[in-house]
Amino acid sequence: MRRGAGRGGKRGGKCGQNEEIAGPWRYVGNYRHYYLFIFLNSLDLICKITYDFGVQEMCFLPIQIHQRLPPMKLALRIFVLTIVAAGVAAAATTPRTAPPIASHQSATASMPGPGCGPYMCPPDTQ
Amino acid sequence: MPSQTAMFLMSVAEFALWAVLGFLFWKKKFHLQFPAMGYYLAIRIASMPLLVFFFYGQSRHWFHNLCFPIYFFIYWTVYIASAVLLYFVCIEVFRSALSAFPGLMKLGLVIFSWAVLASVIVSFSTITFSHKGFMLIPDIAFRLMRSVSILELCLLGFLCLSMNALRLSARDMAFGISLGFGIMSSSDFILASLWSPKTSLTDPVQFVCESMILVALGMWVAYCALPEPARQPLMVPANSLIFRWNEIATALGHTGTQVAVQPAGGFRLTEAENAVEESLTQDLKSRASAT
Repeated sequence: MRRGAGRGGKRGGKCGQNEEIAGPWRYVGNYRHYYLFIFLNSLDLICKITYDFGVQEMCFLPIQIHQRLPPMKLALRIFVLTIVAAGVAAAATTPRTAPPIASHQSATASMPGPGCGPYMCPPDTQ
Repeated sequence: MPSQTAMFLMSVAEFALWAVLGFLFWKKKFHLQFPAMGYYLAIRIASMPLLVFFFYGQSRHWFHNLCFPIYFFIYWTVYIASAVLLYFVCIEVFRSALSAFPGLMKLGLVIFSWAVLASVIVSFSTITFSHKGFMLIPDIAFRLMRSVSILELCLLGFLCLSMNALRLSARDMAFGISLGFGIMSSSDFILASLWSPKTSLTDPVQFVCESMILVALGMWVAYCALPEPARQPLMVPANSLIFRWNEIATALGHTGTQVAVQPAGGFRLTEAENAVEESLTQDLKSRASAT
């Protein structure tokens, strides 16, 4: 938790210079900024929640998300993590008694799997 | 368009994409950097005509009805070989991603190899052995593939979360291979979890999974076709954490001066110290007596 030094000053932290908040509330005097920085290091996301308290006992919570990564890279990361999470969740929820299915990663994926072993099937099914 | 025709067209498109991928992979000489991936693509493309031949032959009773046993053994041999090759592909991707940090790469490969071994042992230990005879082969193959799929997801998660630290570009081929296999693994697991005996080959789930495979293949083709960005010399701050870990790992793996470990009954340092101390004491005594 960091407290801002006043209007227009540079705020510390990894997000660099603070951007002034546009809008009518900017002209309310005697306000203070409270910054809550949540550093999600793995995603390189910084979530800044600003509380502005004015003289009229009104406040608002503009939430800005600063990205240190380019949007494409961030989108790729979210996509990849979604894939990983979906795969892990599916693997975890598959019942152990479920019949195994031939993987698409196998070189034989496009061909039908033999339903029985040699000399074990009825002659009609071979 | 009927769903059967759509599925057939998607399967044809998949095989065509595999063929294009194999061609581009060898043309761009990626097989020198990822030999296991090259073998995987080769086995993928080469086994298809062979399997089609014997599959067709079993319905025509060619070779005195020997086509079915041959098909069975080729099918499962190729399946197991694919799973084993995928293990090596994972190791190659891991090595390539950590190539900028040789110390960490050496240490990481040791740990990764142990993880692979543990994964294989766990896979074999969980085989139910409910089938006897030749039908045990599919059980082993399915378990191997499942364990390598989990390993691929772990590898993809690791690369995704440590891209910045490793200075790994999203356009790097190592990341591309891992992403493609991650999509395929995820697709396999989703299909397995939603599978029921009533599921047909034209079920919507099948279409979704086939689409994911096509997306993965299209992405690989794009990775191969587009020029890979040249790896810039890595610049990290001297106090960087990963640089320090790399130094530590390099020092751990350094095979420099060898130290002889003396047996218990041999010459000891304390004996040498005692001998020096005795000689000094005698020298002091002799000097004191002389004065």
